[in-house]
Amino acid sequence: MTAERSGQVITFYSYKGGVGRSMALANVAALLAQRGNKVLAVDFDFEAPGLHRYFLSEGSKFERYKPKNGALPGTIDFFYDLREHLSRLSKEAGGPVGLPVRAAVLREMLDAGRYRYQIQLWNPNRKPGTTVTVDFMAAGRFDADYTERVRQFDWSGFYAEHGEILPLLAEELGRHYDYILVDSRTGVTDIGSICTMVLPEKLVLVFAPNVQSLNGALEVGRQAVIQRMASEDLRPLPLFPLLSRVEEGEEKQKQKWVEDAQARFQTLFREVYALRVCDLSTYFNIVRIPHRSFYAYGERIAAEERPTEETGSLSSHFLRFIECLDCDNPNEAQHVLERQQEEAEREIVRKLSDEGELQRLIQQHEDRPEPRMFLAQLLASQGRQIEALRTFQEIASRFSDDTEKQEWVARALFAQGVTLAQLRRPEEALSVYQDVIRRFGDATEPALREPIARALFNQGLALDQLGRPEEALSVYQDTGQPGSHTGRAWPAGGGAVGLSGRDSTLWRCHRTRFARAGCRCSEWNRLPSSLSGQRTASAL
Amino acid sequence: MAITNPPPNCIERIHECGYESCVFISWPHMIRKSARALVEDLARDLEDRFRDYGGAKVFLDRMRLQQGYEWEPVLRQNLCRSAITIVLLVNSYFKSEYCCTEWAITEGLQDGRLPRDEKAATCFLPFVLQKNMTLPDEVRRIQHEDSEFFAPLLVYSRRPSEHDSWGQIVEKIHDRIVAVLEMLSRVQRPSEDWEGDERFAQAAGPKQFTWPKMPEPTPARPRRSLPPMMPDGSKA
Repeated sequence: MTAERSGQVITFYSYKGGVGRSMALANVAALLAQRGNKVLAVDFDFEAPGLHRYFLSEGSKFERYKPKNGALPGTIDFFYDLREHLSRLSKEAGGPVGLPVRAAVLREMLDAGRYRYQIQLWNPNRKPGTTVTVDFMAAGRFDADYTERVRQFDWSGFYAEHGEILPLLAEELGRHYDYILVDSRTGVTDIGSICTMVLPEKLVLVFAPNVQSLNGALEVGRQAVIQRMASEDLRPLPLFPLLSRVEEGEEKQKQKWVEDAQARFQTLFREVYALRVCDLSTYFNIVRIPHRSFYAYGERIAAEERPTEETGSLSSHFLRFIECLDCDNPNEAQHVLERQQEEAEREIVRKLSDEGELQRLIQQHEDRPEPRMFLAQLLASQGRQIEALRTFQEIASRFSDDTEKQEWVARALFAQGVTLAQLRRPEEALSVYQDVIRRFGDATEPALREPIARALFNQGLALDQLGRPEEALSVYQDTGQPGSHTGRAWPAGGGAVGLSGRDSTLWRCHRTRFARAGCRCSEWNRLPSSLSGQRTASAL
Repeated sequence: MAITNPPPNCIERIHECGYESCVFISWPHMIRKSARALVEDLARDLEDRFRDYGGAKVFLDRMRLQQGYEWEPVLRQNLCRSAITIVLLVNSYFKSEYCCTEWAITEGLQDGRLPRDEKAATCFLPFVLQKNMTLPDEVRRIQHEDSEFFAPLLVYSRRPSEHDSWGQIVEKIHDRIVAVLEMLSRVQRPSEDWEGDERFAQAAGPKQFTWPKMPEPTPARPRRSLPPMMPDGSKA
C-alpha cells in the first residue's frame, strides 16, 4: 500500500429511493479522483444494490466491473469473512481479542485487495484519453446465494459482538484512501444505522424536492448527530444536505422550496450543533443538482463525459458540491465562493498568457475581436512585434465594417501605431495615428474617445521624434485643452496627458534653443517650474 | 469562581514565583486524530488571551504526536514548572502511563502551591470529552466539565474552533485559569521548594486511580445495541 493518509468516510444517505443518491456518489467519486485523490466507493445498499451499474464494463473501453464472470466478493462478503476471522481469533484466545489484533486482521484483509475493483474512468478535464482510477467495492458477489447471504447477516448481532471494529475499519480505510464514499441503504434499517451513525465523518443527505424525502433526511441527520455526541467517537459528523433532481423552470416554486429546505436545515443545525447563528444561504445557492433528462436513462457518470468548466453541466454542479464537501461544515461555504472567484481570476490570467489557449479562443469565437487583441498584446509583450503587428492589422481589417466593433478597430489601429514606433518606424506610426484620428475623430462614444486621445498624444510624440516639434506642439495644444478637439470632452486624464506632452515638447524646444545659444545648465533651472518639473522630465 | 476582571499582574506574579508555563495540557495521544485540532486551537487561543497580561506560555506536548519519542525528563520538568494542568479526559487517558504520571505529578505538587485557606482549590482543570465515562473518585471530587461542554464543538467540525461558541468557551476556561493563577500567585515560593518539586516530578510514577465500586478502569458494559433509526418525523 502507499503512504499513510488521513482520509474520511463520507456516507451518502437518502430516506427515499430514486433521488439520485448513487448517481451523486458515482459523480463525486469520479470528480474527487480527477482532482488527484485516492477514492474508494463502497456499496452498502445490499437490498437494492445499484452502484456497480455506474462502473460496468459494458459500453466502456475498459475492463471495469463484471457482475457475472469472475466477479469479486463485495462488501457483504467482506463482513462475513471479517466476522469469521474475529470469531476464530476470539475462540483461539479464549475471549475477545484486543483492538491492535483486530486492527491487524482488518489491515491484512484490506491489503489483500480481493474485495475491490480498480475502475478506470475518463477525465474530460484533461487532454483526450486521460483516465483516473476509482476503487470500488460492490455490494457482494451477485451469485445464486447473494440474497440469502444478505438476508442471513445479523447486523445487530455483529455490532453487539464486534462493534469496536467499525470505527477501526473507518480509520484503517482512511489510511489507504483520501475519501471513502459509502452508498447507504435508504429508509430505517440496521445497516442504515451503521452507515449513517457509526462509520462516517461526514453525512451527505440526498433529498428530492418533496416533503417525505426532506423530512426523512432531516430526521436521520438529527439522529445521526445526536447519536455521535452520545457515543465514544470523538470524530465530527457534519451534515451536508444535497438537494437533487431539481427541475429547471418553475422558478417561483423552486425558490420557495429551496428557501424552505434551507430554513429547516438551519433550524436543525442550530439545534444539534448548539449554534447561535446559522446561515446556509450560500451553501444552498451553490449546492443543488438539477434534473437532466439525458442522465435519467440508464446509469452514466456525467463527470466522466462533460468537463466541469462547461457552465450548467451536471459535472459543474457536482464540482461545486465537492468543493463544499471539502469544507469542514456547510457553514463554511462562503470560503468556497471566495476560492472559486480567486481560481476564476487565476484562470483568466493563465488563459490570457497562454498563446495556445488564445489561438483556441480565436477559433472558437471568430466573430469576436477580444481574443485576437489579447493574443496580439501577448505577442508584443514577448518581443514578437512583427507577429503582433500582423494581428493588430488583421483585427482592424476584419472588423472594420462591423459598427459594433469600432472600439476594437480603433484600439487595434492605435496599438498598431505603438508597435510600429517600437519597431522604429515613426513615419508609419504617424500615419496610423492620423488614420485613427481621421476615422474616429468625430466619434461621440466614450469608449472611442480614449484611443483617439491616445492617438493624438502619440501623434505628437511621433512628430517630435521626427524632428517636427512645432507640429507636435500644435497637436498637444489641441489635446491639452479639454473639449478643444471637435468640441468633444476627453476621457478623464486625457487633457492632462496632452498638457504633459506639450510641456515636455516645450521644454525640449527651450533646451534646444538654449543649447544652440551655448546656455549652461544653471540657466535651465530658471525656466518656469511647470517646464522644468520632475513630471515633465520623467515624461521626456 | 470566575473572575471577569482579574488583577492585571497575576501572570507577572506567577512568573516571579518561578512558574514558567501558566498551563500544561495533559491529553492522551490516542485522541490525536480526533481531538488534535481542539487541543492545538485551545493552546493557541489561550496564549492569545494571555497576551493582554504580557504573555504566558501554554505547554502543549506536541512531541507526543511523533512516534517513539523519548522526552520524558523534559516533559516532567515542564509540568513541574506549570501552574495549572488542563486534563482532557477520554477512556484511554486512564490507560496511558504518561497521562497517569502527569496526573500524579500535578496532584503531588499542588498542596504545596495553593494557599492553605483555599481548601476546595485545585490546580486541575478537567474536561470530560466522552459521554458515559466512568470517572475515578479523584476526578469526581474536583470541579470538572462534563462531555456536554465540548460535544457540540467536536461533532460540528474537524476544527472545533470554527464553532460560533468557541470564543465564549475559551473565555470561560481563561477566566477559570486566571482565578487559579490569582490564588497561586499569593503563595511565595523559595527556591528550595522548587528544587524539591523538581525532584518529585522527575521521580513520580503513574497515579493509581480509585474507581467507584470496581477495581478496573473500564467498567463492564451492557450488550452493545445498534443506534436505532426512527421512522420519518418521530423523535428519538
